[in-house]
Amino acid sequence: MRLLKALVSFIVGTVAGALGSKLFGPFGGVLGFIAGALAAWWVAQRMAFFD
Amino acid sequence: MPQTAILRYTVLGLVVLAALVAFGSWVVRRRRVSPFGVLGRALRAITDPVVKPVERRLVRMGGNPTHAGGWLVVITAVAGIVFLSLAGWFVTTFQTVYAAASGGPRATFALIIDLAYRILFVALIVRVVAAWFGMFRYSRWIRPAYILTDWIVEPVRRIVPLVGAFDFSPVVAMIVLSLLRQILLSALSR
Repeated sequence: MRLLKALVSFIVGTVAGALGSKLFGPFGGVLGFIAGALAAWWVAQRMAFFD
Repeated sequence: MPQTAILRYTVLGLVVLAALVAFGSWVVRRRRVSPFGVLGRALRAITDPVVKPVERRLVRMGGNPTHAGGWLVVITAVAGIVFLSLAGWFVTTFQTVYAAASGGPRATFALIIDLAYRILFVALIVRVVAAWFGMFRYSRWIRPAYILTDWIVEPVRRIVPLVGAFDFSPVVAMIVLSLLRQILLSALSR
């Protein structure tokens, strides 16, 4: 289910972005968001969380 | 630590907790952990009271029950964001009203003008966004937005022409409202 996977990835990305921004500033925030969202999407895909 | 930071960390903690509950439920469901072992039974006892209500509602809405954990995380995050926004709005409003009350009648009038502007601005945005989803003045939920803003949008619509399929009158109404607010506020501050 793509919608649910996208929403969960967005939430994980937001949390990772907040963490990255706290540690490394605005660029850290952007990178954290992208890395967190991609990691969450990959894990959900690999573990078949929402299949 | 300010109160807002405490609230934010509480919401973050709840989202993480929801994710852990969803994961716990998932490992038992997918037989990664035996549901009849000590760990499996403990996980079910902890996660079922939280996940089952979401699952029931999801099934009633025609969804897949195995997605209950994911939706639990999403619902917790959305509810947390709404709660934080409302808390922030309450604190800001309280501070503004307090400052206005201690600033005399001029400050009170300025506050009334500012509040009226904000309400009309939100009503205009609701009107525009609702129109994108095919909800107009005869929708029960959208009608108040039309009642609040018709007095300014309708005269503007008679002046501003349609550009293709786009109606720019709400945008022009927003600009007019903003100008009106500025004029009234600067007249009050003299």
